[in-house]
Amino acid sequence: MTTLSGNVELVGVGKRYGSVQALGQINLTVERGITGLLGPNGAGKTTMLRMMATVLAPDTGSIALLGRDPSRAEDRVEIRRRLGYMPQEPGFYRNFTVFEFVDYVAVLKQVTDRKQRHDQVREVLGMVELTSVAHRKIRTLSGGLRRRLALAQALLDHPEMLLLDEPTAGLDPEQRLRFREVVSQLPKRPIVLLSTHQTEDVAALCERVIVLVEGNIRFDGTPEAMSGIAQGRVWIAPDPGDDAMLSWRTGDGKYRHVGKPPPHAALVEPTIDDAYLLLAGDGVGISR
Amino acid sequence: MTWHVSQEMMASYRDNASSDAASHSLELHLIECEPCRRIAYEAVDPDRRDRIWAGITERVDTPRSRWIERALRPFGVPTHIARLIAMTPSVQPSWLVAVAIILALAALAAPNLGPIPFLVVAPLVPVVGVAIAFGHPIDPVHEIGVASPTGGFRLVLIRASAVLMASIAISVVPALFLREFRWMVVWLLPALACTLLVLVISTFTHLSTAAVVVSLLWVAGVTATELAASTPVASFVGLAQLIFAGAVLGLLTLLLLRRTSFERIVGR
Amino acid sequence: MLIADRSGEALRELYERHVGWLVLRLMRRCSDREVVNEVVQDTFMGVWRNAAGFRGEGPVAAWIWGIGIRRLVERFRRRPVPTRAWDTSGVQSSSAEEMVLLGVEHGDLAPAIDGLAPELRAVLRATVLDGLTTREAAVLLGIPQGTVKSRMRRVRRELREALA
Repeated sequence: MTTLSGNVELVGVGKRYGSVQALGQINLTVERGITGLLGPNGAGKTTMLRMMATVLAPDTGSIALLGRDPSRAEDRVEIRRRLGYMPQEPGFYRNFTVFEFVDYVAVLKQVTDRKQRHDQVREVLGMVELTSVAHRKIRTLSGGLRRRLALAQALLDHPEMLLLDEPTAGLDPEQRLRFREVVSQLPKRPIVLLSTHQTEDVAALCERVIVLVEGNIRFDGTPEAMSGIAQGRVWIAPDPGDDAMLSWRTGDGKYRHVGKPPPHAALVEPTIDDAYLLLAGDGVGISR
Repeated sequence: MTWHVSQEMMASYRDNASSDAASHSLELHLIECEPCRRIAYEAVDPDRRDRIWAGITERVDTPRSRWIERALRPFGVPTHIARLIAMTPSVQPSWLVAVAIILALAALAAPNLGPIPFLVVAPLVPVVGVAIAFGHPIDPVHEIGVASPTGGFRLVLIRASAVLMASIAISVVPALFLREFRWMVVWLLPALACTLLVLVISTFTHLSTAAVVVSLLWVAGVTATELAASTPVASFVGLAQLIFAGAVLGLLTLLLLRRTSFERIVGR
Repeated sequence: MLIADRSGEALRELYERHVGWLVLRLMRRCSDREVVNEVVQDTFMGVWRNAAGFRGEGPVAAWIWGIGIRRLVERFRRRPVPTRAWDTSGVQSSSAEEMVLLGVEHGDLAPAIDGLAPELRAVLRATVLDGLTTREAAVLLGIPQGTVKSRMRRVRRELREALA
């Protein structure tokens, strides 16, 4: 299978569901490497990812994926051959074994030669460390393992474009670390788009961050640049303050404030979290 | 265990240079003694060990081939398509058996109630089967399927054809209980028409909704025709068959026109 | 046994422990290398599928041998295969080392066994050592069941005479 050149380009892309504008006038180019898509629930991340996965068509604007046009049938098939997609709520046939399920997706991906297909299945199961449960039925697996299974099927056949929608939801910290290892060590350096509301994943993995809030891009740049937005606006104080935009109690008994500082506050270095809160405003809860 | 196998003993055993009694002893000993088994392990050529293991891995990993796959192979169906079909939920034995029972009951009631119960139920079998086979939200793997190269219209066609054929196959046997030959065939065109109709409607709304709509329309249509017509079973004979044939052609065209909508998932 | 929860690693571990002796022991009953390779694969597939059926009676190796030798018999039933004659002529007398271990396992019986004719030793091995039924032994050795029985009678008689 030849490599398709080209990146992902969205020009003037919009989508509405009834009266809700899920995405409005998005202009975006995504290159090879790991790009994070950060935003609260309902921001339009899943919509954008689905459009890139060719399963949803935009209402306005145009999309180019790997240099091809997904609105044309033949191009769509070519794109899908090089696409790995991990949906937010992947479904499984619960009576299948892990191996059978990935094998099935490989069949859908038109890997027709049986030996090659089985080798690929073994390879991706190895990458996500599911080899030891390869012959267990899916219904016997925990949520975390199923998530890894969803990731495994997306990694089949070395995709050139990998779309991951909330890949670390429900994973414990150790599993999240493993996930980061896998994604950062992918062969062939594909275009990776990682949609999440976990800022730590973004900070650790992504070369570029896009913050999407209520269907619009509020930030597009490196994680360092993103932290820089909050420069000079993050403080630590012994007491809670009402003037700050957001403030919460940290583990060591002090209070962290974003926005106007209360009295006796000391300025601190901002993190990507702080910037995210600033960008997303009221749409974001403080729960971590 | 006061004695163990030495390298020389193992070598002469392997090379068939030890006596029967000695070999017996050694074999009995190996059943019980792990360290000596390790010596035996070393005595086998590593390449041979690896080759045997590779064969085992392949056989262990190979997903169980369902009987459907094996049945399809003589017809020249490529193995991967056969696998797709075999994985289709409504081509599974449990579903088919349930359907066969229902149809058998309907057919056996024919002497008393006429052929209508059977003729009404039979065309709905593929409709329900298609709904079960795929389509959000019943098919959990729907989204991944649409995003794959096979996804979309091609997958729909493969599975719908499989469901249709399986439904017809499973309906043929109970149909034999209907006694009159024409009852055994008049439901075929309606079955095809209903299946096409549910697929066409699924391009506008969820597949499960489409299935319900088609079922209601069908039952209502047959009921209305039967009540209004002067001859019994008018909804299946003569002119009705021509109408069904026309419907099949029309729906087929419509389906082809609407085929790109299978390339996307429905709604949010 | 760990295999019951479908762990491929457990199978691998079991494989490493038992493939050695299994190959060697089967090679002494069938001289065709490829057939033995296949039968070993069949055996481990049988282990994989029937792991739950092992209830811990006796050593694991004995259970595995039961599966293996029966797979070999099945194979012979389908297609006759050249077996090893196990006629190690010139090896009638055991080495010093072997005499030591024979002293432990068989006692006085050992030289008596070695003194039997080859076809009798084969039947003894198949029925007593390998635990096959008369019918299975017949398939393995390629002789009629009646012959198996008559040879076993001769074995018993000759051993009794040798020990008397």
